[in-house]
Amino acid sequence: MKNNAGALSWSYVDSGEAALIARCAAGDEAACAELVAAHQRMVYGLALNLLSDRDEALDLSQEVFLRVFRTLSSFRGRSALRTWIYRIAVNQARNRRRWWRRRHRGDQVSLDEHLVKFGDVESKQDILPDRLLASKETAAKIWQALERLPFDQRTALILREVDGLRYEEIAFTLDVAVGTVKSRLTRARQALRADLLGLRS
Amino acid sequence: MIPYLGCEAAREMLQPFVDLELPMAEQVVLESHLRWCDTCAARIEDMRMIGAALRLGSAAPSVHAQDAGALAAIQSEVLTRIRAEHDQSLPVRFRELFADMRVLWQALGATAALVVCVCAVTTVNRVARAELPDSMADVISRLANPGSDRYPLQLDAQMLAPRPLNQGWALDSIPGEEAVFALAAVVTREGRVGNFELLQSSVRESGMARGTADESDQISALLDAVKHSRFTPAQTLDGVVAVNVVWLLARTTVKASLVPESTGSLPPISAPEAEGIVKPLNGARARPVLRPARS
Repeated sequence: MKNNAGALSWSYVDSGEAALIARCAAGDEAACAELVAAHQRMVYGLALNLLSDRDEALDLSQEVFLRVFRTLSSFRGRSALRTWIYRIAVNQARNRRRWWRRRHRGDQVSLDEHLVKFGDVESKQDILPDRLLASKETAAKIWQALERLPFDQRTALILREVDGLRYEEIAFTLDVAVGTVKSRLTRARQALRADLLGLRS
Repeated sequence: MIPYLGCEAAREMLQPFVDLELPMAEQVVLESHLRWCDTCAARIEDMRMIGAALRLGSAAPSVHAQDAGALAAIQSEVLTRIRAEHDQSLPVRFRELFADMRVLWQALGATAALVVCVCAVTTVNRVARAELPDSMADVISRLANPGSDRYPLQLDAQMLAPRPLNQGWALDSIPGEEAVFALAAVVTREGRVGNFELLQSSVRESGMARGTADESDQISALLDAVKHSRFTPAQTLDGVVAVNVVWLLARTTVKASLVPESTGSLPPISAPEAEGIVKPLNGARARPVLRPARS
């Protein structure tokens, strides 16, 4: 019964991915390289968004993958591999952020700094042009407001809007209920909207 | 017919609608609401704009432009560390342990030395188990068991001295006129004779000398009989105790001497020597004289 459930849950993982996981768990280096290559952009991007520091993000990404390979044998396929890696990344980032905050208490990133850091972004196709005329500046403002949000709200919103995860996946990543994800998203959006209204007026 | 939806209820559905998590039926209802409700439509727009701003400001899209080197570094660094960790994993380390056979003989020698040491310690421990006299352990067990068979007491006035029960032995068999044996022994709590030691024996022959071999046979037979004799054990107020005794066995033959001439009238008394009457030391029978042993 339990085995059936376990076998069923592997339906989150397609056969090619399952084979890759098996090879990685067996210590196949080429498979490990393949797995890193497939997910490193996603992990690095999330780390960058959560930590706002390239060196930190790089370091965190390495830690995440090492942790992935160390615990790959305990991966039971209850989620997609991608979501599982997200979960590890978020946990590592949360730990690192605590450590970071202890070291850099009240160390806020200024708007200019943020613009310099993220200024040369490429345009995305789904931007609403009429409402986002001063798009770069608005984006920078919103990211600055985002920095002030609690870690869990911020992470939930980034996972939803930037990484495009569904509620269920966010819930698994943050290890909370779907209802909690919804309320965190609502609160995060309300806070950002209040900032945006202040920006407009 | 699409059911009516108030703003209150619609507001709950706005976020799932933006996030594409609203069931199709509710989606249709909400869309009809948005057609006439500008407030809700504006909220939707705000949420979408926030999302767009987040995607725009996200550092992630720039990853492939700037961070190709960083990504390559992630991969190579991770693989290097995985390799290092694999090299340090337990089975690998175990295999490495036996890869270098130079240390095999040293290891075997050390193991053998250890075994020898353990055996030596065990043996010494077993041999040295017997307590030395006057050692602390001996003193302690002596104090703990006063009057035991192993630690007999000395006879004193408060004790009821041991008395012989049987007379399996006799001095009669001993040749000669005078025989004295001094024995040191322990009378145990059971009334047996233990730690028997012959201190002195002297047999004086009156007649011609007999074969010494025969005599020593007789003596050893006597001592054997003495060894198997039984006593009532010595008693103190606390109960029976073992005691050290010195045991004197003597046979004397009293000979009549010639009557001095001044007494004249008395006929000569024939000495019982001819019958070889045994005159025990104390009374009618030879019995042990028990004295406190020498310390």
